[in-house]
Amino acid sequence: MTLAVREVDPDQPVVEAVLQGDRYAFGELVSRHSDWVRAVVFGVLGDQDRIDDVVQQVWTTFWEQVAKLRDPTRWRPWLYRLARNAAVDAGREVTRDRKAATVLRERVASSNNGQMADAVDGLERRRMVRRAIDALPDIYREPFVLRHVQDWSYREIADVMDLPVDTVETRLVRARRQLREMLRDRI
Amino acid sequence: MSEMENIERLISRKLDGELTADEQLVLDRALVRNPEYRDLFADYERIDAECGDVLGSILVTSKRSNHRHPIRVAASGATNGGTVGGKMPRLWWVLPVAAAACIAVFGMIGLHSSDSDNPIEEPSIVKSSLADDPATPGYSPIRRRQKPDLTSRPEYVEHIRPRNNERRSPIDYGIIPVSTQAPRLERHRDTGIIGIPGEDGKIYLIEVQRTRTYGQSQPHGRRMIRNRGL
Repeated sequence: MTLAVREVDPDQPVVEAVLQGDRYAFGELVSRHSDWVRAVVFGVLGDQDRIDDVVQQVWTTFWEQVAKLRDPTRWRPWLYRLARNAAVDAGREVTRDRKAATVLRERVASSNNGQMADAVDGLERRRMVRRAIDALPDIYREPFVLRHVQDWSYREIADVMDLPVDTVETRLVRARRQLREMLRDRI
Repeated sequence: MSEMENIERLISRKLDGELTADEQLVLDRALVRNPEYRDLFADYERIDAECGDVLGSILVTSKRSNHRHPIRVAASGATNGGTVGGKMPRLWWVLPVAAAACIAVFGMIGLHSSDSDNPIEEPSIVKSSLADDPATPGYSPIRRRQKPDLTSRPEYVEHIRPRNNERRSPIDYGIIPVSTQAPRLERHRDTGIIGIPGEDGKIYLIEVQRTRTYGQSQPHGRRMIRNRGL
């Protein structure tokens, strides 16, 4: 005899209530999933100071447009796309900062002065790591941030980002490879 | 895929907790065999830990500052509006004032209602079609909560028919009314069916209109005063 195991989404009743206009359910959904939405926004935007504004915009849009959600079981990828699009829109305003980060990446990657590693203290090292993460291409930074902030499995990341699991794994490998190239002699 | 790329992939899977037992074996052998792979593993492990710390601190710091920016839902449509999470909105006093006004209005209505002296109406006695067949297997009018056929014309049962059209009080039917004078905040009426075995062996269904009063006189807040029934 075989038993069919069906995965049950514990958030589905909450989403159904939100679809009925339940504000308290919406508050519950926000509290449950705020962290990874923040991670997505940060992963795309890379701007800590603007996370709050963008995340608020994401949830507001979710509330206003949730009725348009065709398949309520696919609410996570939908929320991911909302977060990503909002972050991309916000990121257009800070393109100049991103270009500066790219310049920094090239500078960090091209430099091989190992003596500097001894000079930087913890704070500077953290700043360097932060800049290296910022300098990652978006498609690598997003799964990398989700993996580290949420401790999600490849499957969970793939479900939210609506990507094949293998693609998620490949992007994580490449993210680590680029980070190593930038930080190997720095930390 | 070169061997180095394969080892990179295995190290990445190891750091992400996705490594299978077989892959773990392959990785262990590779690390023992080649010092370059050990350096690679050490670099990845160190960078991963640093990145985790930095990302955690960034998002935690940002999350703390987010308490100053509660999710504000734009007022669009009938169901939307207000704030979810975070501080109270500016018009926080509107809700308590509105609630107090509602309580006052309900209180006034209750004090001036015409039937305040007789809050429980006289129950009407109904003999339904279900009551005609007490021998139905497993029949229990109370347990089954099956609705009687109320489309049939009700008729009064003989032994409790009011004489000379005199108006009987609920006490005559064993129903003890509960005073709803205080607290009188909110009253609801509904209808219930009670089954009574008669002297003739039949089961009579009594339709009882009940009045329920919701008050706040108890220290634990909302309290419901029930009729005690039969």
